[in-house]
Amino acid sequence: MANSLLRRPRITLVVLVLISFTMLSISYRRSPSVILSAKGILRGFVTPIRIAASDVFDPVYNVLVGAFDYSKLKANNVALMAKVSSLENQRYLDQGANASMSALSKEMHISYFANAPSIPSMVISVTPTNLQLSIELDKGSKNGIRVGNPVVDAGGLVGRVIQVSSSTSTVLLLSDPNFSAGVRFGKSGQIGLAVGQGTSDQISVQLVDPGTVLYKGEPMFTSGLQGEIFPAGIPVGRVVQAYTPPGGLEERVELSPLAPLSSLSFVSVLDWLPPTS
Amino acid sequence: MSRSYFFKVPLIILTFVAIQRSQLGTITISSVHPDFLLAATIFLGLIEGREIGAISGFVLGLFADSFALIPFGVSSLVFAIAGYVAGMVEVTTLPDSKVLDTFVVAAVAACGEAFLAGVLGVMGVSTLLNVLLTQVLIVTTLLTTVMSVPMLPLLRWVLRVGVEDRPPSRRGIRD
Repeated sequence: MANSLLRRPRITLVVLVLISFTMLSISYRRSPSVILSAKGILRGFVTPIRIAASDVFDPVYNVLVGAFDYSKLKANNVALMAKVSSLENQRYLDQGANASMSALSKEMHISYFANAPSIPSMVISVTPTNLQLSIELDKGSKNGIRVGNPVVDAGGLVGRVIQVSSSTSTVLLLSDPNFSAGVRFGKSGQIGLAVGQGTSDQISVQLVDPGTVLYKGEPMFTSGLQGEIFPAGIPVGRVVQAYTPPGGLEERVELSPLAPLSSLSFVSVLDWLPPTS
Repeated sequence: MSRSYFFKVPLIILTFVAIQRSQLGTITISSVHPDFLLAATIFLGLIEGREIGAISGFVLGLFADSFALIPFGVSSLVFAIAGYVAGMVEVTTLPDSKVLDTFVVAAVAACGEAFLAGVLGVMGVSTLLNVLLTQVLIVTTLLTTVMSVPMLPLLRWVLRVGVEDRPPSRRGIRD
């Protein structure tokens, strides 16, 4: 009996399980620096492997995508070209409004996102895990990126930085179930809480009073209230549907994110962190 | 045993990490990514037995944990057990069979993902996996099973080349 219990594979498994439990108990509540640096070392170790693997496996990926999605890519291209020309016109109109808003918020000492300096970054990969919706950027701590920095693209809010190594950073997307941000909407500036749903095309807004009138297509912006993790004024999404379920204590609101979360190429990391008080 | 054998398993592990981190790992089916790391754990366990399965799973789990914002050690715990369980076929009296291997791969893949979701749930860590559990279970099991058809013979061949005096207790190498 004792002999069968002490067989080598079993002992190996017990040792590995004990090591895992030790690491888990150390990193359960809040990851200490030793765990964070271990993670950073592993990610740093994988980075050159990932770059080499991209050279080898990207052609395979392109063949697969090209074979199954060519017509979709072609249609997307046409739609994007139309969108680019309309956005070019809109950009000039927005520049004026943005400058006024920036000046006004500075006067009133309100944290407005356009006032924060930004670090342009390229999206190098979607994090290939089923545990979170995130992307990886080609800039890291040596470029000034810090955990907690908001990330935006030309459309609006993308997410926030959750991990940083010296040359890359990981951004938790707006659509992840663990993501939440305070939002403001309507002429009266009502507030709600936008929460990711796990799919890239839908966000729900909670804590909206029942009976609130919301129009389809109405935009929502980050609220920037005290304690918020984002500055005010970043466009988050547009209302897709809003209704009060029978007997519901709050309005059920669904947003479509303004940033194209499934096809991001370039983003800006805002050099902004919530004020510590 | 050939010295090259001891380099093969780490090389296989690194290859699967590279595949997971390449664009192939970003492919999604019903919003679910293929889990090459769990797949590699199961394949190595099935071919090389419990001990190599558990160690490979542990190492691959560390890499999986480094990508995500979850407590460090969750995936290593789950993958080590998955590799050990997959390797238990070496102590069964069941005959060598491709059908049996496929069944083991599917069962361990499904149980592995469910166990991972369970451990995270018990720890109170909310992740995408817990939200999309049914989709993840179905897609990961199917993809891992499909992958096993070419990968198991390929890995057996890779591990066999240059290794003449393998321990007789190991089940995986068929002649």
